Amino acid sequence: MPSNLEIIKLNDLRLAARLISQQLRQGIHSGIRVGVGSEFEQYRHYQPGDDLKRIDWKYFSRSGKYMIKESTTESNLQIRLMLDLSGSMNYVENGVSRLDYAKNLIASLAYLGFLQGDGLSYFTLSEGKVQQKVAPTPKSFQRILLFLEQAKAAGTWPLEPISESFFQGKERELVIWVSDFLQKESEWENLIKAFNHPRKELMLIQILGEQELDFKLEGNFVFRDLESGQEVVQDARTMQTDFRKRFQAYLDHLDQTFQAPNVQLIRVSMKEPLAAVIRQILNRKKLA
Amino acid sequence: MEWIQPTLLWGLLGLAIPVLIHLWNGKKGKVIAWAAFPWMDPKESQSSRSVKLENWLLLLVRMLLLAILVFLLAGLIWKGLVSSREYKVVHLIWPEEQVESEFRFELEQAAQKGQQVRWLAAGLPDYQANPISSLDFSSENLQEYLEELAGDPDSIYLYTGLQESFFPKDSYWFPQQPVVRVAENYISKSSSPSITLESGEFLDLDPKGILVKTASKGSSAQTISGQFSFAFGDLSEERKTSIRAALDAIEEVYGFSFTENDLEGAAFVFSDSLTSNLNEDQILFLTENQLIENKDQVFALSNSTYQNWDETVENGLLPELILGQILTQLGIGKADLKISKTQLEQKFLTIPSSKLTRTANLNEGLLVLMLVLFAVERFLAYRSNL
Repeated sequence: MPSNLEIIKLNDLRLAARLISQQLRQGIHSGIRVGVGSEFEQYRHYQPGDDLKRIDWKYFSRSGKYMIKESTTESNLQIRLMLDLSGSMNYVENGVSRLDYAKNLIASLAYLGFLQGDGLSYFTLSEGKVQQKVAPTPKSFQRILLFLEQAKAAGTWPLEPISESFFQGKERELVIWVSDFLQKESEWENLIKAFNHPRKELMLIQILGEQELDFKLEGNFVFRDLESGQEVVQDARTMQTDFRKRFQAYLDHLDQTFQAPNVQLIRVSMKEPLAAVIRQILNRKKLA
Repeated sequence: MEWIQPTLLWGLLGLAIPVLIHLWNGKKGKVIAWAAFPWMDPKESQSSRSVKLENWLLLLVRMLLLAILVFLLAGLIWKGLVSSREYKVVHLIWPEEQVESEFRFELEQAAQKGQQVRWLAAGLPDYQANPISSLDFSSENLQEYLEELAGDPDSIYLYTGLQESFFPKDSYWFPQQPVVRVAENYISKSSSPSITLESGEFLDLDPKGILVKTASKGSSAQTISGQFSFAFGDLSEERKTSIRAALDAIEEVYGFSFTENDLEGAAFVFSDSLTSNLNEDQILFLTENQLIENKDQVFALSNSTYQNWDETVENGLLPELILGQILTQLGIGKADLKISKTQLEQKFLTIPSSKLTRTANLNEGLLVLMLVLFAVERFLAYRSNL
């Protein structure tokens, strides 16, 4: 199994997505799910219990056999992939940057959605705005990969609140928002209200570095803020306990804030294999 | 400003220590691009400039602390404080009637001026308060008396005679080179006794210290008989003959008379081995030194290492050795010779200034300063949490 670093070093999102989804689908026989759909796939003999409506009567008139028209199942799940492109995504640990990790995660998720035929759309959060980059079209997977490859993280978190109309709509929708959520003063409550809808689900993937989760640096360091560029010289050992306490308090606060029926916060360490993260996401999502 | 131990100023190199520590601490660490910035310690996240300034202050205080420590050890003497002291003169008088009487006028004048006038005796007693008879003096202990000179005198006057016996040692240490005032009219009280000989003549020491025969008795009141008895202990005949010959030679030249006696009654015993049953006034001449040091009563005539018996006899040293010892025993030493003033002054050496037990006069001030600085240092260090 390739490690995260190896996958990211490939610098090829399509290949990375395939590799990761292969790890996920190990042991799964890739049969085609058949069911009700608009596009014809095959005929099969009628069996007692099948809906009489589904019998192809024209075929019966020709051949005198009761056959049922089948097509591949169509998913009508809309997946919105959102990528945070604020400066803090440039955080690098052990040669892996948070942005690369997020890109590969999104690419893999998009690939899985593409295989299923889900409607995919892609949004970025950068320079204080939420921008739709890819609309849900049949070609959207390729377009998502293209935009992912170009994505560069810079600037700060959106200051203007995300408009409520952004999440309006009645269709079944899964929003996967990949970020580090390292924004102290953000109004998360509004976001949660928008998702108070039975057919919508919000999955927040928080990617954190090892040092952020469990601060273990020692020695003198110059800490440069990725968003503001501010620098602070500090002895890591002396600030260790304080930092851990504060950061844990913030994480606890986040956990409490996102306690809503359709909202899930998945905290991921950059050390975790991407496949394991995706498996976790798939296991926890409630929408089929 | 003057230093007691200027070499200790090398300790100032130690000032580099806090600088090095500071540089080591101030060494900027690796730059880390950090995302979780808002969770850093706001107290410590003051601008790095102010951190630096405070550290420099602390560094300065610590360096000053070290410098003062070095100054304390090196002993800073502030000339400004020293010169306010009055000029200190010490007069030392040789405790001898003749010397004192010769300089009485000068000494009294000096005492009137408030200068220190002291007897050169145990405890350096004051000249006017103590009569000469109350002094405890022995010329052997001269250096010990000199060491009692306290208070770093600026000049020392020494009133003495030029007798060689006054200053038996080769050198004497003074805090200052003393000015020697010589009692010119000092007359040595020679105490060597005269020896009366069988022939009616006398043996006396002349002023040059040579034993001469004179027809009349010398100045000394004491007279000793020139007749001695001797005995042989454990000795071979050959050696006995040699000793007899030596004694005959002495008789012939100086007119002493030696008679052989038994061991009990003899004044001198010649023996090969050490005998323990000697009378109190007997002298034992050992013909062969058995690695025993010459003591009061035992005297070796030869030495196995550099001059054995045969050489002694062959070189004709035997009479000389025997007579020398006899004369010493009789108390006829060398005459109390005079030495020149230059010779005397050569014996007086100045203690190098670095060996002086001077105390730095700024010590208290420096200590207080050090305490204050230490308090400041602790305060700064505590405030900046270092």
